[in-house]
Amino acid sequence: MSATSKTLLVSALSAAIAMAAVSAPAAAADKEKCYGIAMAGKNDCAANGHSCAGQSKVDKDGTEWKFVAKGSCTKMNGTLEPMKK
Amino acid sequence: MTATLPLSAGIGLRHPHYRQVLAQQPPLGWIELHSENFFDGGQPLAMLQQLAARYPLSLHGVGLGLGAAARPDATHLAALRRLLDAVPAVAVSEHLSFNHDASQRFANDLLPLPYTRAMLEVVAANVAEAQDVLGRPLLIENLSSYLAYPGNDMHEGEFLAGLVARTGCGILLDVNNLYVNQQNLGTDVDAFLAALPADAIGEIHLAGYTERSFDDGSRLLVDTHSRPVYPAVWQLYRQIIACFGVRPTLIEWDIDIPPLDTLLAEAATAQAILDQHTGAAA
Amino acid sequence: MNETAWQHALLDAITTPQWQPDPRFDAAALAVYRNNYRVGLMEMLALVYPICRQLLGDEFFEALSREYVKATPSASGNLHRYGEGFAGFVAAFEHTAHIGYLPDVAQLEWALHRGYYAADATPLAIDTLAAIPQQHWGALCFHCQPACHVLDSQWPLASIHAHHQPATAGCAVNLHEAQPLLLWRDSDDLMQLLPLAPGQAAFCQALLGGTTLDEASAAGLAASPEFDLQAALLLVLQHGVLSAIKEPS
Repeated sequence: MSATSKTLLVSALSAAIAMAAVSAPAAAADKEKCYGIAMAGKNDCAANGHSCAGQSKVDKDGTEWKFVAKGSCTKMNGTLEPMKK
Repeated sequence: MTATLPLSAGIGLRHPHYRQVLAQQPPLGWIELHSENFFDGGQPLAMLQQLAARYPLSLHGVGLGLGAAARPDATHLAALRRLLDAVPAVAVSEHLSFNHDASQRFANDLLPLPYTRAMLEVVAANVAEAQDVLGRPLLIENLSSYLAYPGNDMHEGEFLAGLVARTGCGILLDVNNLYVNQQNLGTDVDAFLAALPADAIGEIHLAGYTERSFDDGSRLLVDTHSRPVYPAVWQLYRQIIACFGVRPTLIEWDIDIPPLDTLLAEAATAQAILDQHTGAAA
Repeated sequence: MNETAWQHALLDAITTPQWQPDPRFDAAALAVYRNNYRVGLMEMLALVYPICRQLLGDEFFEALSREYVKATPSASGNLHRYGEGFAGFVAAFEHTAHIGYLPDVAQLEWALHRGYYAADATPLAIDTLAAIPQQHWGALCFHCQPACHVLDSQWPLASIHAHHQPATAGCAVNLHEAQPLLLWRDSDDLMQLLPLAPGQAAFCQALLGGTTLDEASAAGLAASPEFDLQAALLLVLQHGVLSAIKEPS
């Protein structure tokens, strides 16, 4: 590590420490709650034998692949189409 | 174990009702939640800690599979221990079932085990290992099952009694599971109950099943925990309370979860039965 | 022991994709167990990967998840652990391999899912850092918040994510924009994400990987001449990415 970049780190971290000490995260007021309570509790499905899945739904085992993706990948802004970069 | 569950009715608390119960704090003897949903940390653990501050808490595991011929998963056991260190639970339970083999392949279900003398020694070692790691006794729950090992040389009640004798564990008696096994497999309910050491029964579960018919005309009662408790199960419960005395009793509902009031009403029915018996005994 | 063999055979009969009738196990009973096994894992995938499901549509996603479950046995008694390999699977699966961004979206969803349940960690106090003599700063390494994750993606992950959230549904997505992401858990225990400026992904990834501050700074600069070290440091300090200073070993 060169002397220059060491100086850079010291000045950058000094400034960052000073700023972090006085300011909350910039977007704190209107931050997007992107992930809520809905994620809790999936192990309930493993409880008490053969409960959730075993009865609420009976799966059919298709052998031949005949499915076409019909979700938002086909229409997102008209640009998000299946393709490789 | 210094603290025990109160001799009253509680409900199995599932995530649709976490916030409502915290906000309204309905009168409930105790609550029970699934251990695995609170492994590690974050919001689920924080919510569990809030709930445990308001109600006596029972933690009910679905994933340890102590009935396996293989040893319990050390990672899972360690995660459960961390949970118990983070939350004050008065009771901790697991099922008399298996879910994995020695190659660490899992089926996330409660699968039946052979009830044999050889198996009893293996499962007793598993229960003892788990209790050592957790630093406390477990309640072990009887299972609803649709298959039986052809070489069984004892029944599930005798197997549970053997576990109690070898490990000092307690028993969680699920009345619905017992009834479902009677209907599906012809389990002898009287023989099952007669084998249980009464003092070891630390908790009772009540729930509802679903009947499923097959193309060949056969039918199975599937233990879905998705219905009100059936009259026949209430009847068996009264009989068990009359025989063994009052026990902490849980209304358990895992799918098609109804409004909280429905669960509370079911718990009130169980509480009324407990009260009758407490009154009669007093 | 025969009992061991029987349990092994029952697990085989439940988890094998193509079941052949087996006289040891009643067909109706086994059907209940087999269905519960497969549908339980498929429903788990639908819960963990809601954006992938929206991208592909319900029918396609269900068929895809069925194929994943056939190929991927469960390796934990905790259902929350199932589905880690989904990104790799969709990258290789012949009917999804052409959707270039899908594996990265799956990785994002897995990181959000695991981050939500990750162990708690107290953020590093600014004062602790400020109290250390400046000449030692460059050699510091950190324990980071377990919920934190960096995704160094060539795809617009933040836009794709926003496009599938109720509040921002349908917002524009420019597929030619790379949006590497920082994921962290905020003080309300909710997962948050932020697109990173040039060099920041390399910097954060190095730091989360346990390098020194000097090495992480160098990684940021090497990744982009526009790398702004001060902004990157402020970002990790403000979002509680760092949790403790590692003692030199």
